[in-house]
Amino acid sequence: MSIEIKDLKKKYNGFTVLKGISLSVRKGEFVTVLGSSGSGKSTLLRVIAGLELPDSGQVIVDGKDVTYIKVQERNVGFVFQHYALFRHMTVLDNIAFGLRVQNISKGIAHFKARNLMALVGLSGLDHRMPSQLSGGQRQRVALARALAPEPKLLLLDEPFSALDARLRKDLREWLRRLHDRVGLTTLLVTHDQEEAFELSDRILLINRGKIEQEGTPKQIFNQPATEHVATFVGETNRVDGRAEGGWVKWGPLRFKAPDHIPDQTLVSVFFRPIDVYVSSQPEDGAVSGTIRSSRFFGALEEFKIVLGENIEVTAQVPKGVAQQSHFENGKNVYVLITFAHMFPRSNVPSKLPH
Amino acid sequence: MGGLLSKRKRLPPVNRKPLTTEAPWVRGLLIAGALLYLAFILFIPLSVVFFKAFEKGIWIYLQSFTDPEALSAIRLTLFVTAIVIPLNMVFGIAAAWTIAKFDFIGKNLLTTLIDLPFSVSPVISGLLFVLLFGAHGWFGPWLREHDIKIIFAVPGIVLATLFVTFPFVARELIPLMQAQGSDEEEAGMTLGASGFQTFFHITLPNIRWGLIYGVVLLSARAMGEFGAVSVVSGHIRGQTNTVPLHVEILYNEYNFTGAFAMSSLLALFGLVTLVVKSYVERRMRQQ
Repeated sequence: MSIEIKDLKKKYNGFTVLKGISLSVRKGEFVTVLGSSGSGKSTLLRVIAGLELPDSGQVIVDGKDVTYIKVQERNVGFVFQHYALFRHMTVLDNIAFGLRVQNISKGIAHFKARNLMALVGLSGLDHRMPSQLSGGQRQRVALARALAPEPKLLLLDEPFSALDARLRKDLREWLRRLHDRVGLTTLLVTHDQEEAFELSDRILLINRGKIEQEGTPKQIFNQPATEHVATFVGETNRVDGRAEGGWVKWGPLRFKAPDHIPDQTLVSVFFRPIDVYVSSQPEDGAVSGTIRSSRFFGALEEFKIVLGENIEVTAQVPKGVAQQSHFENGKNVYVLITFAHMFPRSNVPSKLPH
Repeated sequence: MGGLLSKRKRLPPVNRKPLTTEAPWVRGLLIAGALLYLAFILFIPLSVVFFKAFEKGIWIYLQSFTDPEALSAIRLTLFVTAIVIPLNMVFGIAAAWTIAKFDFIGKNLLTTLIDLPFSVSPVISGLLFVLLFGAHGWFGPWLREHDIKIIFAVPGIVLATLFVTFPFVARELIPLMQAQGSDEEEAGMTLGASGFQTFFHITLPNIRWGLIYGVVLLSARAMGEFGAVSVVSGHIRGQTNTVPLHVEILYNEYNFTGAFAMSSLLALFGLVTLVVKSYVERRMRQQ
């Protein structure tokens, strides 16, 4: 099932939540809408499900306009943030519910529900009540329940946010495998970029009711289209400056301004800690600095490095390299920025992450 | 599991100081005071009802119920209650649903209005209907023309009882429904359930204990209501007398055994209500 959304707009009490959202999801694709809380992503999902009406715009599913079609008739699987399991029904009845309301006999509905329980790894929990399940189990009941009426489209609203980190990772891998196996079209909404990167074929980054960028996880990470995308996805260093003669200077560092940025424009430069190359030997174009502090992240080590007079950059170095080069506080090192993005400064500067 | 328990048993007992540190005599005094108060206010009056009812023997007690006027009062009370319960149940669910699941202008006003019968004296509640439907009331002339009797007749008693008891179910359900939100209903709808299916398979089972609790309180009040009913009833023996009104009449006639026998019925129902209520409360907590 493919979805196409055209120019959706929605207001709540005078506050515009969706400012004209257009997107499309191909059949069998796993697409994530990524955004911070209040960006309008949940509202978007609810409009697609039919739980809310847009003020204007269209929701087209398989070429058919369903904008004003009732929720019940959309055949959409929806997984709620807090699962919304039917608290007075057993696990089996929860999962069979979507079949039972279609007047499918109890026997067939329970048979199908048990098959789904096996698929999501809940076999044997038929007669448990939702309150007797762990968070991860509830999550899987919610998924199985949404899948039972065999929807062509699965909508997930922050489905992992209430789980602990370890479980979240396992369930993510499992969900992606399930998606590939069942051949669903899936639209996930989350604020967790790691989740978006790991699961999605494509990411739509939404900010204040507008889509800022869409692309594969790689494109979003490597070629952020806006300042907001650059700061929202992954950590980043930020420098504010002015383009002069094709360059932006910051202490001893120089960044090449792209051709489309005219001279004398106020710009912000972003570069990721992982794109800061650190060496103990002087290298061509590298700038000398001193390590001020370090943090250990397991696979990576992060250093705050002071360049020239009181300019600080954050660098992340693979554990092995850091060990080999004996990087430690107070050590003199050479720094090269290998990759940076530059945007003309927006009127309202966003918060500096570093 | 067993190992864990047996290990725990072997631990030396912890000598915990109670968090409340009042001296024993203070505690004793407080408990005794509370019990004494309860005895005077509750136990003694309640036992007097049964004592007086059975004073002249069980035969006389039972005979007071064979009196046709007493029977008619019991019948009327049950009849009124049977009408009031379903009506106020439906109203209570509808009002609670509206308030808990939708946002609209005037919501606070509606919430406040639902409590009105609690804050208005029952006598005034009865008077309202006299002013509306009585011979000199707003609709009085029209009703007389069409030969419809409301005041000093059964419809008036039903109306007054409806008015006095309508907050019970709604009051019970509003906080419950607000706490539950509408996530489950939405989930039901995305799974293809119609409005009716959603209501009967999801909403109703979720609120059932709260609903039963509300209905229990509602029926207790409906059977026991005196003030409002007294104003609209007209006290016509054998026709518009409910059990509480009949108790008053018997008492005024110095028929103490009869009065207390009827009272014992109401008291008994009150006790049954309490038992049901505490059972339902326990089930609600378990949920």
